[in-house]
Amino acid sequence: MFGRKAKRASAIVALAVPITSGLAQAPPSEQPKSGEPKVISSVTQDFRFVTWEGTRGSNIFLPERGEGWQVYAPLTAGMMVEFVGSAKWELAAKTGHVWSHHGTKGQEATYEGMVDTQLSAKVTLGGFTHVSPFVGVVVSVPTGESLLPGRQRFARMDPDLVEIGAYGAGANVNPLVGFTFAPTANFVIAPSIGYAWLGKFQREGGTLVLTGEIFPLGAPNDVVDPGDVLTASLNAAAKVGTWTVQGSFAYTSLTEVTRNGIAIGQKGAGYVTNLAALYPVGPKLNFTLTGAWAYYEKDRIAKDLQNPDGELFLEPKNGNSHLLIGAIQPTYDLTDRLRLGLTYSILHRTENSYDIVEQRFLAARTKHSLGLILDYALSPTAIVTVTASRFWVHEEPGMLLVGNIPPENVPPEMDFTGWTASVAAAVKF
Amino acid sequence: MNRRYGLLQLALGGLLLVAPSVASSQEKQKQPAQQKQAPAKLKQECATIRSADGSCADVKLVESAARRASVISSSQASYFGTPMGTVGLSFIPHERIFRDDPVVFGIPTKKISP
Repeated sequence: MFGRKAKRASAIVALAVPITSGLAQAPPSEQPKSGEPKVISSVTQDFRFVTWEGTRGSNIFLPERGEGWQVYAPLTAGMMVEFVGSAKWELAAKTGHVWSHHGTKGQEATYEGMVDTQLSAKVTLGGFTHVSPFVGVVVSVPTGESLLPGRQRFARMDPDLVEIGAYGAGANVNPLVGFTFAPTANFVIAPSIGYAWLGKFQREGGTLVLTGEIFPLGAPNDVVDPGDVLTASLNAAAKVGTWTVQGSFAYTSLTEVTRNGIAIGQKGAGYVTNLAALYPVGPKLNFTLTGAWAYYEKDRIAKDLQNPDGELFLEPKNGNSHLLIGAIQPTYDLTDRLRLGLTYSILHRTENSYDIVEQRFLAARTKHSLGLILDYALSPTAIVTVTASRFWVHEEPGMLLVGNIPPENVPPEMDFTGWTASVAAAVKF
Repeated sequence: MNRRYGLLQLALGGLLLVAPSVASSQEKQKQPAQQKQAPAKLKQECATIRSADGSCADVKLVESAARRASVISSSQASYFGTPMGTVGLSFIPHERIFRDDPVVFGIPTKKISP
């Protein structure tokens, strides 16, 4: 009986990826016979629903009541093949279907279709005593739509209000290489480098005005090349007493963005940090804490975005904001099959910025999210996860604008609220 | 020459006869020490890698650090993140950091001018 309970409990831990986010302890698995590869496959199907409402204007100075909803159904399949002592292969694919509707008056738009599909392959080489090298590649296949003609472009909604804010972005290839090394038994570091070749994609051209027309009339589509991104990171995992701590620091370097072959901007170098910690309070109660911080240096921008000549210069004031994310998640095992989690998350963008590439105003904002997560283990290899949350978003003019421009030109404060719910089933075999 | 060869054979034969008994007595003397070394011999079979201080690295830590390195290094491949996993929690995921990309999320939340 104890064995069955232990198996179910370990199933919750092993399969509940969303609730434990990689801090879980994988269950001991049966060792394969000599010469036989160990094979584990998994399939996860999600259905995520979100609805929002709030002040949203077609023009920043004309805020209206806005609303929208989205159903996003991602499907992820993976396989791990381990040749004991020589190599471990991990293959995965993720795709999804989305139904999105933006219902703000004058901006009604709907998108229904696939999103881009991601494929990943990674091999970890064995046979080394002190290091464990790995190489991999992630490919994004453009099965979604980057081009939303006419008013359909309004189907792209704010990524803080819906799960997916865009539906396609060209073909991307991202190889990576790294290794793990352990200074001590309970402290492991893993440096890695990845390079993302981001492919060109089409984007609707012209400017959509309030009357719903596009100027200039018959404007051709734009071809956007988002450039490439180099990511160098140092990652670590450690056990400190009863704590399990993981951290990452990444440096990103981005190349120029071009539109129709002409350079229109280049984002500054970025610094991204993530820290996660798991603290077991007792045999049934755990606390997970995460924090993330991102910052980018000054961008290089075109003097005249409407008529760029390919020459870029360093912006006088950094248009990028600090972005902070924090979350705390206590979880409690109600039974040997059922686990309840409570999550509070916060996102804070410290300053306003105005994006020169898309003439987009990125507001200083704070988002709070409070939700419940329920994991139920159907068997040692199958689990169902149900989540629900309420979120609040508050935007403010911020220091960039207040005091620097006439009050009548200061954007008004705005508020959004929304609900999310999801059901996911994961099976390992 | 033959005499020297014969002496060498005799010496080697003597060594072969004596060596086991010497080794046996040495084994008896070293038994406690070898018993102490037995766990060290088991450490030869680390599940993943050996740490710099000679002990076996924690398997879960090795796997989680490698997974995290893979996720971070491929975060830019897609606005969805990577099928390799994530390093954040639910509701406001770590991938949100990369969704300020105006090139991908082109439609303005608000525009200063129409």
